[in-house]
Amino acid sequence: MIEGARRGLIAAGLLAPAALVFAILFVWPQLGLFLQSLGGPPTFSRFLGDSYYLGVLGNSLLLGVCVTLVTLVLGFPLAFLLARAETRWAGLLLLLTTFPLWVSAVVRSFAWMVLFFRSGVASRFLQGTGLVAPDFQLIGTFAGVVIALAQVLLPIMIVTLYAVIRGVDRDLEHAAMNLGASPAVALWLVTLRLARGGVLAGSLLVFSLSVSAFATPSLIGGARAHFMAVTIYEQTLELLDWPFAAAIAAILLVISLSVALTYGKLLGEKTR
Amino acid sequence: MSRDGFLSRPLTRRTALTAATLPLLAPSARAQQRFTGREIVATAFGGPSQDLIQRLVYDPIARETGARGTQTPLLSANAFARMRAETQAPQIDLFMYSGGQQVAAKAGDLTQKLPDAPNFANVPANLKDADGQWIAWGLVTEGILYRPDKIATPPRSYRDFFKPEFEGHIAFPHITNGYGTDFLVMLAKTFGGSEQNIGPGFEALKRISGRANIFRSAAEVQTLFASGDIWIMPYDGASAMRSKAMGIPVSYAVPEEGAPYVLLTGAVAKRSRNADIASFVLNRHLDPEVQTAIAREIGWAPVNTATQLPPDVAPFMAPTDKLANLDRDAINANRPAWTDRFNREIAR
Amino acid sequence: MTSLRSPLGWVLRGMAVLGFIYLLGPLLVIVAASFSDTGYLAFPPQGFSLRWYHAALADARYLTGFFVSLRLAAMVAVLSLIIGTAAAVALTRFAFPGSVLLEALFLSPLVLPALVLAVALTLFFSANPIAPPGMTRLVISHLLVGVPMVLRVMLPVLRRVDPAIEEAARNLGASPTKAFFLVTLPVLRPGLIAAAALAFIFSFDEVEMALFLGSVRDAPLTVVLYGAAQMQMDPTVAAVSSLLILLALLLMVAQQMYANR
Repeated sequence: MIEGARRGLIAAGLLAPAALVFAILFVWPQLGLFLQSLGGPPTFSRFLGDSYYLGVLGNSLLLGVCVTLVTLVLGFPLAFLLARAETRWAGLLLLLTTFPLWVSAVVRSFAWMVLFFRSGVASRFLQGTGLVAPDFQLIGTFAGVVIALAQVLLPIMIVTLYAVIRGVDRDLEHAAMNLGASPAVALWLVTLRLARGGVLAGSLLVFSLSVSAFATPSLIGGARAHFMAVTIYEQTLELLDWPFAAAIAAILLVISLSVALTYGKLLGEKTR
Repeated sequence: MSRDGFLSRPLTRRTALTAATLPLLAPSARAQQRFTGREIVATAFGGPSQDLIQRLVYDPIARETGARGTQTPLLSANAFARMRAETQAPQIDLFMYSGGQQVAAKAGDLTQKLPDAPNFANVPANLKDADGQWIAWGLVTEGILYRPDKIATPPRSYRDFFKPEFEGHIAFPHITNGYGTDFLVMLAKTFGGSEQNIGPGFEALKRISGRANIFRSAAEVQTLFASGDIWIMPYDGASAMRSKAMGIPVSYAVPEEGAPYVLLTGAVAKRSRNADIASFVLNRHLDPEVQTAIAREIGWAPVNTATQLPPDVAPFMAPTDKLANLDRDAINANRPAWTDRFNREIAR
Repeated sequence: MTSLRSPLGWVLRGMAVLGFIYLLGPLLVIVAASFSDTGYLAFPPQGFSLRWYHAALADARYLTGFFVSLRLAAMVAVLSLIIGTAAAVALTRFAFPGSVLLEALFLSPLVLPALVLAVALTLFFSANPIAPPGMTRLVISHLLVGVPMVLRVMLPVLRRVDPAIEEAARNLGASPTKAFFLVTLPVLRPGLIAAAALAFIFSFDEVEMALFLGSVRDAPLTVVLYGAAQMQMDPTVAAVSSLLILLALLLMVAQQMYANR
């Protein structure tokens, strides 16, 4: 056992580089921007007192939740199989899942656009199912943005889950099965529970990157993309209202972090 | 068409360079080398325009004066944000704007006076700042773009957007795109309004917005037309010209209500130490042969009155007497309110 | 493996195949369009042409930009890995007040749109030139996203490592350092690789900070692509993307063959 003072010193030393980077390059500059939002004409009350802006905030959070769910549902099976596969190509397949990340978000969005136009493959498919109007197109819809954004962020979910599932002791799975659990139950009970740290980490990453994404929502959603990031871009670049943009960013930061940390707490406590 | 070759047959950089610069290398200029060892950094609009201007402006200037020119692609709005954020220590000397940002830049005390240059005198007074803080070097005329293979009779008026047969085949830019704002203003004017009375514009927009594709990025124009779903949109003639060169059938029509236009301007960051080179660069942009080349290859109209417009670009530019002069001060003053209203009422 | 032959195993497999189609489908659109004989991004492609590849390879900016991005991403990945893992160790192995707040702080840059970070940093560096402009500023700015990514991946990985194993090794006579390298590090390896990969790819792909803070002379590939995609969607951009995919594929296969030798 190391005594308290020394432990504290080691902890401080390990944290120092990250703390320094964040203090100088994040807290200080962001505080500078944030201070602009105070003092002048009201910014926070302008946002919080307007149902349109609250709707935009709701849209962003909903987008974050939907994209997280899609990537989790599609990502877990992939990550699990890859982590457990005994084929020599497992590593190759894992790397294959990261391919979408090699193509810039703008180019990728153009590919989705081509598929999402009224005459595009994806829209045609939906028209064929009869569930949507014959001239339906995914361009400019919330669903379109979710589909395109989830594809971009799915690799991040897979890689994160993979890293954690690889660390889960397989003997525990076998032990559960030997104790009479069916393979399905064993998988559910053991792997999913033990991988909850990965689920949490992947969800937090994907959720955060969804609420802050700009390129994909604005290209796929077009003018109908009423999201926080798009509003912040608009206020910063086109309307040059930096104090208001800073206020919106601060609201996005506080609300998203609250959602993310509450989720983390729930996941942490429920499964412990 | 002679222009067809410029995109479909990519020249290697070397041949393009020599072909373009030979006639410009005046023997007398060579001796001067007045900016030896110095460097100017400028923003650019990217794509083929950046390559062309590198060949016709920066490369020859480097040879003649010794000043190295570097362009960095930056959309006007991003460029202005960067100009404003790095006021104290600018990394970029010369900022090129296409959305009127030079006015806000001057108002925000972010610019400095450009040293005078010979070609500046040939630019009409309304296309340059009275205090010499910025000058236009190009002009882009807006109007109606359409697919001639889908629309038999060329559109003649902004009223044509309301023809029932076009329903579901219309696209128009978001109001944060300058052309989107101008479309709104022109609709207002068409239906009895004005810059001061924008209501009729919003009413008209509301009638077509429900089934229209409202886009944000300029890069989408070709993709939209190529999809086959979109037949008609308000945009600029230069885009029509480049679409046609790419093989997408797109034509340009000048509406009878008049064609709005945007200026391509240059302004120098206040604390830049290279205003003299910047002025030299802008002067070169304004040389008649460079103005002609920009018109021919990119579709941006010349602003130097001494330039002879090549006849083959005429179908993509509105004639001077058809230009609509919008009240830019009123538009800028109303921009926040209109954007807000657009987001709430139109982009639903 | 038993659990994979069960019906659940087949469901998992089916979903995995779907996942792959979803991930790679749009990339096929890009690769196909890069061979199109049209001046715009056409899908299905019309005709066949290699001229966009010719254009991409003939333009030195793409290759230069690629190497700039490679250097940038490598530095960001290594620095993020060191700084992020150290912080993750501190947060998992030592209990101290305010650790929840710290975790929140370290997640914050991911929640903010990149433009907000870019503008704030540009304002900051313009007033406080603590780092030379260009590559240095961009690398340290990218740490704001790289470090949180590493941290997020490493926290659960470190929490899964049983400290008892390390202690057992030490009881058997290994020094703490030796125990770490012999016992803990091998368990952490998949996590470390995943974390570094995420930081690397993020930095390689990032546009906004690169536009505002990057060197104008040595532009990263993302800035070159941004320029090419400004006035129109140049198919050269699709060709460059396809070449990147091909390169990643070749590296993967080479690595795999080396590993399985």
